[in-house]
Amino acid sequence: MSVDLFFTNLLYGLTIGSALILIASSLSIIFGVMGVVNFAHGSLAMLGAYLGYSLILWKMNFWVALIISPLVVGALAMAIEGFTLRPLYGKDPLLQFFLTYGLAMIIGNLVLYFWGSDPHGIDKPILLQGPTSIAGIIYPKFRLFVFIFSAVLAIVLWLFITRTTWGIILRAGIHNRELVGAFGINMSTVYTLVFALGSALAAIAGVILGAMRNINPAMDLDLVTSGLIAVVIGGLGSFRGAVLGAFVIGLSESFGAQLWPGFSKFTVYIVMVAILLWRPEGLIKEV
Amino acid sequence: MLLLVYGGNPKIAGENCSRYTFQCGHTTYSVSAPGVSWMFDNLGKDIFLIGSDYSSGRDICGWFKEGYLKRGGTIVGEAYPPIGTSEFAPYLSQIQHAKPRPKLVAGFLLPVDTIDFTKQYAEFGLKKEGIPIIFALGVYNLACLKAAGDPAEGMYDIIHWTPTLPHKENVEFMEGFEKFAKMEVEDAVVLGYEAGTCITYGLDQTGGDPNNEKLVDAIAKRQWVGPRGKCSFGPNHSVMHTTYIRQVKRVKGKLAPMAIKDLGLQTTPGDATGPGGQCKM
Amino acid sequence: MGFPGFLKKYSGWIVLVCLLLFPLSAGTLVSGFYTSLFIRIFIFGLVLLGFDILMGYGGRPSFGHAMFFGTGAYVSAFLFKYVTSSIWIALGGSIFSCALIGIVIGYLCIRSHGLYFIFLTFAFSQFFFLFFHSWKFFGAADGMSGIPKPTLGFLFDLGDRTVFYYFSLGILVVGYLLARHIVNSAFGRALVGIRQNEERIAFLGFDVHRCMLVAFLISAIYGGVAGCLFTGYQNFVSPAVYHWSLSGEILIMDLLGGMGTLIGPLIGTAFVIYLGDFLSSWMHETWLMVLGALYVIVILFSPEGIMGLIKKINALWIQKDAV
Repeated sequence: MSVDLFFTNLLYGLTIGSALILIASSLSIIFGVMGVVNFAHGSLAMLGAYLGYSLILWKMNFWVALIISPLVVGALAMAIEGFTLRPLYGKDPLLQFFLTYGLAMIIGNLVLYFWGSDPHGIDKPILLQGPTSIAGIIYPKFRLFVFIFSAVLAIVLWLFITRTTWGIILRAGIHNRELVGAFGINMSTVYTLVFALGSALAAIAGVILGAMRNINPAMDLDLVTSGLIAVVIGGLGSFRGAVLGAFVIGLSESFGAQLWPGFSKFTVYIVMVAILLWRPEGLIKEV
Repeated sequence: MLLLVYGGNPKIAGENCSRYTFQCGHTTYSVSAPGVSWMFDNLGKDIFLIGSDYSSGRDICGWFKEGYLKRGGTIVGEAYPPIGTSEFAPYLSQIQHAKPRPKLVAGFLLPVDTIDFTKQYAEFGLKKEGIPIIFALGVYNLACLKAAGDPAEGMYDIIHWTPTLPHKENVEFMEGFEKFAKMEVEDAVVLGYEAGTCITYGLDQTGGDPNNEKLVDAIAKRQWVGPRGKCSFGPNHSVMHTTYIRQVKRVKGKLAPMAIKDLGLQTTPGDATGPGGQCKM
Repeated sequence: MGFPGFLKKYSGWIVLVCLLLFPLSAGTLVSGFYTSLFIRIFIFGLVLLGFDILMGYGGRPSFGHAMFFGTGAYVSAFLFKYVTSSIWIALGGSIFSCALIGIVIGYLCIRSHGLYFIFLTFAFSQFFFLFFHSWKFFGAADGMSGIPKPTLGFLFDLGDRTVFYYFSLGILVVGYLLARHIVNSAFGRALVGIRQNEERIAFLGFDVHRCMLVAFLISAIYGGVAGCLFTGYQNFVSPAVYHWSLSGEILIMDLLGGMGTLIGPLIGTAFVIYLGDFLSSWMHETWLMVLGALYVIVILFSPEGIMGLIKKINALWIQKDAV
């Protein structure tokens, strides 16, 4: 592989990863704080994408859709959490996982029912259409935006989790829910807000992915499996791990398609199995 | 008796042909391979092939490759992304780095993958470079264009029908259908209609007698002008239809696939050198 | 004993007799289509029997059972097409290949619990899916078609739907009796013990990993047998048999019916397949919404599934009797 091709693949791999960062990191936050592996995460992202599509159809522009869609999905998520997840706290975490599987089926099919099975697309804002060039490599403007946007959002989240009081409460809650409760902090509210935040982030990811690719009723399955793989590789509950996992997936897809075209999807699963067997905590051990 | 509305496997026109089976729609062959001459003469000699990694994708790329090599063209590169690929960056980078520069990118990707591919194609600057995409099986239909948007403008595809065909059978059919079903006419509707008229024709000819042998004999001899234009059946009971090259153009502000070249009557040959092998009836 | 008691004691026999007599009414009372439906219920019921041993009794949730079903299906397809149409050879081949896979993958997975077990089994089953999705010899994404009908080797024609009905019912009954024997044995009780408190069972001298491996193996074999019957009936196989949504459906059927009861998952299978068929005719693709909603409701209000509901009703009835 020529040096030029190597850097192209590297750059493209990072882009594929950055699209996944929002999904993986929001999934990771939900697990880290609530202990819930949210199988419905992809469906919520898909819902966000379809809502964005409808908003734009109603003549709103991309940026407005990018703000309103996550707000709606976040509100919906709060209702979902209150009615379905909350009764299960303290019970078998597997039951919670199965519940989210059922939720994914419901949301996925609601989307199919309301929007039909035709694929749709979200038009990119005119500013961000077309290519630009980075160090001589042709690169789509919109992907550059996705990369920067995801990076900024990830950094903001990271700072929030590590530097602010709320963030510390969240992390303390992972370790000892009762003790945090003893401080007078209502963990139920915290859980609801975290779930809403995670779902809103997923919706943002959905809108962005809808612009990068197309929107179809099957996209949720692909998103949630990619997200779960990223989180597992990086380490369940680790924010940085989710980001790393997203990049691992992106790079393996990019280089894999170049080197082993039929088998590029394998590489991701090989890494996943390897991690689960030999280092189940994931690549990054979160303290 | 089996009337295939759309069973596009060329083997049904060849090895697996049967007196009792009629392919009324088209095969993957009849709406891809006939385009090669036009592609070579009008788009260029250096071709990059891309096809979804399954039988139809590979077959179509194979026929394009064969046609180009026979005419002395150059295969600049080939890529077979797995079904369901939504991330085409690695493949687009192959196209960008291919030498000599391809004059066109041809093949077939599944409809949903085509949308992603076309959008990303423009993003990565390949559309600006002036390298057109031409895909088989009429991928740039109205539904696809709605989802893909501007990036699809100017791209080509090969298929047996387009909504803007001006002959009266097509116009009447479209008006009639839209009144009847209040839906937009798409390729699938045409396929169903053509197969349906074969049944009614057969019954007309036999005077309402649903005897299998009589129906088969009647339908095999049918020659008609439908929404697609002139049609009939070859000796292997695979349909002969007109194949068109279409280009996506902006008409009255909306994107639509316009027929720009009539390639004449095409079918899927059922001889030993044909795409499906020898048909023995 | 009273009528309800009579029902309870002989319900198994009653159901069996009904099932035996059912196809005879097909064509007269109900269409032959339902025979097809029941065959599907029998086939998936087999998978669930093995699955329940692993998850309901042993407590390990597998999200990859499609890999055993799929392997049985593909191995049988290969054997039917290229070697022999004898169903017995195909069954043997399926059992052997799934046992092999079960041991290897089981050995790797068995040390993991809960969520990690789910992810591991998911990842392994995805391997199979991607593999058969790309492998040209097995037809890649298009799968294998034109698979000849299996033969019994004597008397009856397995190509006949009614005959296949009785054959698969027979295998299901054998499978059920075997499963019942397994869970009632010391091994079965050890499994339950492992699910409830793994450490304690280990201290009692049981080799936990070996027990779980055996359970995994058993569930793999059941899956393989079911896959073989599937190919035998469909005469067609595609990578869809390896898709993880199948693994998800199996989980749903187990939970809905009632984990850890053997009968529960069978009821769950019948319920889901029948419901799916009934609803999909007037709700098309969105019937999955109903299934998802049912699933959520069951998890929230009756995690022990339909069997749990039956037990509760039974308890109420007994209370009423006592008063």
